[in-house]
Amino acid sequence: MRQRPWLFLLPTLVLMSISAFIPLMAVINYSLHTIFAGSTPEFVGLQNYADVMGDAQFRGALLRQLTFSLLALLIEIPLGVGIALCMPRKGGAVGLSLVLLGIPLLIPYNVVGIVWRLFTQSDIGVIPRFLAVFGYDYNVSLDATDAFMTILLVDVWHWTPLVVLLAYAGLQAIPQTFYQAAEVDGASAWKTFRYVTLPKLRSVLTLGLLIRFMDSFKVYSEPLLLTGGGPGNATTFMSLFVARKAEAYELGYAGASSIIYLYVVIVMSYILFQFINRSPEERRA
Amino acid sequence: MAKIELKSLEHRYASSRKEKDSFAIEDLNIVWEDGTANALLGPSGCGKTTLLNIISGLIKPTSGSVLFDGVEVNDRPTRERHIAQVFQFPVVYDTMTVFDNLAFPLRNQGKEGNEVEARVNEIMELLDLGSLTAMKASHLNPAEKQIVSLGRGIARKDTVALLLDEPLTVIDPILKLDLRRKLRLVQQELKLTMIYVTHDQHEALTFADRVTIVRDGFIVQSATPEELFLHPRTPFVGYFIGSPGMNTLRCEKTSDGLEIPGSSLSLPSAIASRADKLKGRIDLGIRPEFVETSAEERSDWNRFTIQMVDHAGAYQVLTLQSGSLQIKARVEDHSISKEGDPMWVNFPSEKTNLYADGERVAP
Amino acid sequence: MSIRAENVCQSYGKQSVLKNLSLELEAGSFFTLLGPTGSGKTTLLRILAGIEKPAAGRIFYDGVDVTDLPVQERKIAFVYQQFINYPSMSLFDNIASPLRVAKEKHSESEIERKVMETAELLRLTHVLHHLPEEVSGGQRQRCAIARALVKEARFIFLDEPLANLDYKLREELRTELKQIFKDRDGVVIYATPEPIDALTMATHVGFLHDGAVLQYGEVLDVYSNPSHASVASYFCHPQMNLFPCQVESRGEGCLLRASPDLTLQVDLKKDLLPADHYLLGIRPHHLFLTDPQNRLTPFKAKVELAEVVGSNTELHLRHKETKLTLLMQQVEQFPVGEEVTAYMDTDHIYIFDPKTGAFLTRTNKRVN
Repeated sequence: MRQRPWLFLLPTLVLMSISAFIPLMAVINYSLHTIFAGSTPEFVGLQNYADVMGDAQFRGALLRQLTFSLLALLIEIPLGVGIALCMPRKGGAVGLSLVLLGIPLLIPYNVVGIVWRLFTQSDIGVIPRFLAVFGYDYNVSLDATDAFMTILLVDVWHWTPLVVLLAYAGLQAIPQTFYQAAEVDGASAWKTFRYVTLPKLRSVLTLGLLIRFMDSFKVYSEPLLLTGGGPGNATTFMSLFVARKAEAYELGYAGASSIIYLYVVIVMSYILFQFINRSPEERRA
Repeated sequence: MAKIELKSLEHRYASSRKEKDSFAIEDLNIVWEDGTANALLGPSGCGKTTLLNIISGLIKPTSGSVLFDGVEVNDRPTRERHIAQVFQFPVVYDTMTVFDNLAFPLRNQGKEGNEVEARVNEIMELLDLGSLTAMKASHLNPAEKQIVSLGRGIARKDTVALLLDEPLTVIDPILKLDLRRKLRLVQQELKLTMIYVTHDQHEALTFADRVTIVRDGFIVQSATPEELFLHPRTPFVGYFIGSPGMNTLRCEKTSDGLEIPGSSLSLPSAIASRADKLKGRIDLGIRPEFVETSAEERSDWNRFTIQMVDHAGAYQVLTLQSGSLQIKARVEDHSISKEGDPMWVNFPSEKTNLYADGERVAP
Repeated sequence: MSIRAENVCQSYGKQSVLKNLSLELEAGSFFTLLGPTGSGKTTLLRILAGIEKPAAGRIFYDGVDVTDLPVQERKIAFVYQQFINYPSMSLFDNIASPLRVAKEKHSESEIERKVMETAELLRLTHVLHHLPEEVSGGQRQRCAIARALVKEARFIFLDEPLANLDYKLREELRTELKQIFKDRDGVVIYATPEPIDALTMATHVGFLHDGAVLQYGEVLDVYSNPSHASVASYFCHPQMNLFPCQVESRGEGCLLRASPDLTLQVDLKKDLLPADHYLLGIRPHHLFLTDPQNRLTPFKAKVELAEVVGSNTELHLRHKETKLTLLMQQVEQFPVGEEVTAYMDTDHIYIFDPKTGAFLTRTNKRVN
């Protein structure tokens, strides 16, 4: 009788171990060997890790990744909440605006990459032509800042709708009574937002922040298709870096950087989670 | 505080999809005097909450006017009406402390420093919240939250009225008594104009000096609890107020007085003569506690048979039968009445209400 | 016909809900299981009915061990607090459903006759063709009760069936249920936290406290002779006043001091109060605001709140540190904080052990 809950969990556990645990073990195994295509793997202990940590390219990619994710969060979360606040709450317009918002989320990654590549192509793209009007010389394939900002723009365009949807659902769940009370108390619009809306959105926003952080850390196909990681290494983010190494059949090295990459994601997510949940709801004794 | 008036108020929900949910307030006229405790009593879904929201300005009525001290406020926005409103589900600002919650409406008025502190301390003392000053509001239990939202309502000195919308619904029964006491005390101490909306007879009669009974969008009776109890305006009020409800007996006028069909009851001549001048359908209403009973035979009293004895601890409720007529009578706890025994019954005229076409006629 | 529980234990995780509970109920009795929320009423009811299996202990119906018999084979009926009916069936079909699924077949005419009979009893005749969602809460619960009655189950279990109804409906149904069950064979077991339910409806009452039956017996007997302070306090509406007192002098006309300003002269049934401190109990309706015969013990008190309940007013008073409730059998209002003189009828005093709460003695009731 008492074992029954475990019985129900069993299929999930089996699936999880096949899909996550076993590959992870394989990668860890790689990371401890020097492997070149065809040759017999040679156990090297933590040597790969030391190499990765000492690699200026790796550190550059990590720093670039952190900057990218931070900027993405700083833009997407407030923008998402802002848009959600402006959305209609009832009536026929609700459905329409939700569909419009959902479009970027529905487009496959590679299509996104190709579409934006057309947008940004220096000779025929909409964006360079538009910016040229203001006298700005835009070129993704030559200017590092342009390339980085473009990837950021694509990410904002692609993923802000997700934040909007989360925030919108959160807003809908706040009982009207709270707004009525604030009105009765004579609160200004800003105070109402600050003391009613924001606290009530807290848990949804925490979720959004975490999802967006972990996702932005995995950004891959956009730089691959748009800029190919360049110019130079300007848009070579973590996953692209690891993939490059694997493509070069440096499997041990790629394995070690993957593990470090995973470790960074976990640690950063944990720190972020703790930060958001600082002053947790410690219950009264 | 102010006198609050509703003048020929009407309200209809525009988009009521289902017939069931739709309700209407029709031509409502009420005056709530300055500094009085009032209750609005009616079944759930009869538009009581809407009425409160109309007073506080959260909803605009279809027509009619709302007056504060004789001044129409229909176009005055909520935040300028200075209304305190306590909702069914406790509303506190989670991220603020209890102190900041209470200070919130004051600070919204631009008040600062000592003025705020002095007033908040006053309120906290009145409501016994002293020990919770620095507590985050999200950590309070529902009863405490409700007290804080009450305190927030009364913090402003220029509060016009305190509106309460079934504020005890989600409160643990054990904590209810304290909250009830505080509510009553606050109203009494601050001489608030209070409007308490509820479907619960007990709460209405406990909190209010004047209870307005609403049914199907109309006011049935507006009176003190004692008056509602002693002189219910309709048989429905007599049934609705008090436990068990009033006995209502259909009467028929005959050549020699008043008769109750289905029984051979003889009514006291005092009652019969009161009914003499009445027209239309006549009902006689008498509360179970005013029915006089005697286990020994009494001349002029009517013989009934005890059908059922319900013990209630402090008293007993007897179900008495005569012919097809059943009435209830309340007797003392130590009376030794048995089912099947005879009981002689009298309706004292001064405690008996007469209704002509469903409306009470003053003796 | 009887139902018996022997040494029943039940626990959920670490929480022990029923502790070695034994109970025997005879046919023809309307039995209420009275106890505060969380005392284990619902669990016991479910175990007796067979919906839940006890961790230990046996259940017997008519002397036969049914502990392992599934609920479908027990011929019982269960009415829940929530109004549970088949939403897509009319009230008629709802009431007929137990007969239609029964092992022994009923003819349609027989079903119709039984449904109509039961509907008549529960005043549902005029709404039988409606769906549950189209009728009032009171009627939905009547329908659920009718479903329980129609199959003539030998054991009927009701778990706070009136809890979700408003007070006027509760009042009505209480009287009706009493009438309905009065002439029925079989055992009715009714779990409720409301003492008034037990007082008005039942023939027998068991007071459940902390997973055990503290007292069991005929309703009026338990009411007048509570074995324990918690039974006395709970099985009274409003609750019995309990406060500590000190013995001032013994012998005939023993003096008990409740506060510096309140000394009670009591004529105790059992003049055996060796210790100095006791717990004194008096029911709210034995406190008064007037003393026309000049025989009661006066004391000063402050009004905390006057609560109107039905046709009564429960006056919550505070005398020094002691909180007392006074029951007035009329509707009246008092300002909070008003000073009043109240009177205690010392003919109706109970004495309990202050540590164990066990009943010790009581005053001789004056015969009016």
